[in-house]
Amino acid sequence: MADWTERYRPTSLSELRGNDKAAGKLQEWADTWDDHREAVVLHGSPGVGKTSAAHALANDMGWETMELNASDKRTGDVIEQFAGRAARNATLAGSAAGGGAAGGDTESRQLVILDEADNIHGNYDRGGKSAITKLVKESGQPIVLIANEYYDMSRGLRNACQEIEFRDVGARSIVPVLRDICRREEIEFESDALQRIAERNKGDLRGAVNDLQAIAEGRDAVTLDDVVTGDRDKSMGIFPFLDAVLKEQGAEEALQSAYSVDETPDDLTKWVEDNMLTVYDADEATRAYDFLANADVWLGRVRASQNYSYWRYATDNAAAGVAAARDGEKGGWTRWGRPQFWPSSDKTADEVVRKVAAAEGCSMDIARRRVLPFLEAMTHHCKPKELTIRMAAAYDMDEAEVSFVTGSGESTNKVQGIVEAAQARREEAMEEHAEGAFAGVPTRESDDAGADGGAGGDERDAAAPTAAADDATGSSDATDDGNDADSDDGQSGLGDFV
Amino acid sequence: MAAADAEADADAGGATESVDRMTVTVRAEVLQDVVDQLLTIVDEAIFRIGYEGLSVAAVDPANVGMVMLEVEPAAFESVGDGMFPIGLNLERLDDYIGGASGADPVTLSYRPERRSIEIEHTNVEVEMAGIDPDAIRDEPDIPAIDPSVEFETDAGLFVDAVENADLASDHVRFKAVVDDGEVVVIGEGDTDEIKTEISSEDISDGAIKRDAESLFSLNYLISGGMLKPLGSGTDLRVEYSEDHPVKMHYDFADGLGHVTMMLAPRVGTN
Repeated sequence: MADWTERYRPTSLSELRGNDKAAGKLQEWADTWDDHREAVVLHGSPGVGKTSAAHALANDMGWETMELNASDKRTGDVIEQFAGRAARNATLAGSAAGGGAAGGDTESRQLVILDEADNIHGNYDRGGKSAITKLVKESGQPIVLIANEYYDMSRGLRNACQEIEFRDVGARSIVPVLRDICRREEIEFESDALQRIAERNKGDLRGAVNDLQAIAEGRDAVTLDDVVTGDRDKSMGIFPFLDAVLKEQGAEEALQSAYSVDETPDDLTKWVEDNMLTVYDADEATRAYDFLANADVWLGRVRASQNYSYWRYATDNAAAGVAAARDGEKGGWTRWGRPQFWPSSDKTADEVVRKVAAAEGCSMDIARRRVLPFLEAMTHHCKPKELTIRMAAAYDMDEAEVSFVTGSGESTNKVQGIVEAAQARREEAMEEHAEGAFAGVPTRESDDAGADGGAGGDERDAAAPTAAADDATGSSDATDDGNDADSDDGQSGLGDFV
Repeated sequence: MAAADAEADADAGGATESVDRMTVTVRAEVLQDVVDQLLTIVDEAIFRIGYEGLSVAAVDPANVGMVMLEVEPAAFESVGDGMFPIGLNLERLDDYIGGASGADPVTLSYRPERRSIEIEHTNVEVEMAGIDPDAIRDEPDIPAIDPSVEFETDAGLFVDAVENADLASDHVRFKAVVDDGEVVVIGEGDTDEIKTEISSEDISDGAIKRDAESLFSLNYLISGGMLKPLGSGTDLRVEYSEDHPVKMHYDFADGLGHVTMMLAPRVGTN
């Protein structure tokens, strides 16, 4: 049996269900394409009709289509070979019919459709990302990029394109589609059944049609009972899973639940560990921590040996073990929190660590583990202020970085004030350094010294080795030294010995 | 073209019903030429083989280049009663017939019940699965074009002219002016420009009816493109008009095989 999502794919934009506004914008984009010649990005959840809209548009406009989707290999070369050729040339039939090459007429137009444009990566799809950005900028044919996550696309690509958002299709719009399909397939239906299918798919029209087909397979009527028993295996959300493990289910059930959660055991373990204390009492927690420790040992073995079959023991411990550690069931509603591990791969964190490491002459690892925790404790919420300013000056931090270390909001006056004060202090220190340094070099004109100096910096180092080698951080060493003394709390940095 | 296809389809449809197994035999070099030419733009194509000989038309995935090929029945050692259409992966076919050369006979037997063909040559026997013809992009209907410029010249000369353009650019411009009686092949790069003249002495037959200039992507033509199988000694007939596809024709297999290549113009970006 043919796939109903294909059979009932809209052939015209006017047949597209839901997303009337987006369809209107897409039509407008196509109508005015000659004036702007830009590509367009259609983005939104899966199954809301982005690809259908693109094909329907091409059909309405009488354009040929050329589609490159994720199942094709999308290296830079392939994109250039297929999409690139389509985008730079007229179509055969169109140009033969007199459509022309310049594209004044729409007959030789071809709509280039790049599906899952958010999944093209610079490295994995060797050069795919830059090939697409180049293509979008140089295309002589209209291009539609389709993405689930708009912000997963590179900024360069986003900036080169117009953008149209497709919203989830409401159950109210899905039901009529299902009803229509049932009529055309000559299948009787209960309205409640269709309603149920529509609601279950939460905005995913394609999913709803697929469900309907699966349920109607081999039947000539669809009833509510059919729908209820025909529920697809669905993955369990992380929050229901935490409820199950930390409050409701026994060991075996909790383990089963763990299998249906779409997270890896290491993430699961983090979630469980981070939330366990909010509901477990001291005795329960003591037992649970034993299991979590076990889980962590197994995760470590997975990492060391790359033998992923050990994952099962991590899950056993994190789900079944932690559930078994609980006495009875817990009630009420709990606000589960995200594990705190996530920000560690943060760019800001890396940048702070890099700056600290550069200024202190230590490794990034030391900066991360031995310096940053102390800085965080000492300057928590920017108190004391003086110390925070000295830190910001010493490591040349911007608002985001100060906010990261202190935990104060980035846009608050407090943080901004500190960064300004730190900047002022750096400039002062720089001037002091410059004067001191150039006083020792009689042949240089002191005017030339300025606030900082590129070429001058090198000579200055030779003359005054106490000023650090690096221009950017060196000039703050004076304040640094004092800072180090308090901040390192007994831990000396290499910078102390320079 | 469209009408002929429809007929071929109808014939083929009727024939496949009645014929269980159909066999044709052809010289290896002819089949090799066919595959080589097709491989310049596609990976797979629908072959129609039988009493009318062989015909294949294939359009590239970007819908820009097309190759049409016909081999008359006289080029076959033997042809069956019907016509059968079968989609074939060209790379694999090329590998399978690689062991045969020159005048070695290659026998192709169609086995409709398994949608496959059996290839026999020298001491090799291969069974090769076909591809559902519906899964391969249909060639577009191309209306007849009254070309502004037609000329026939040595293929080697033409290929050289196009390759020259590639030295400076990634596209080539064909330019002809009625009064000059010659065709200029131009490669315009960002900084450099190279022109190669195909003068009236090099044109054996042709007519420039109207002035015409047209721009084409070089990657379709050379470096493995459609002109790849061509060399000196073959007569190539080129027809083009402003903003229309260029058509190129040549014959092979002692004049019994005919090739038409078509390429849509490049979209002017400036």
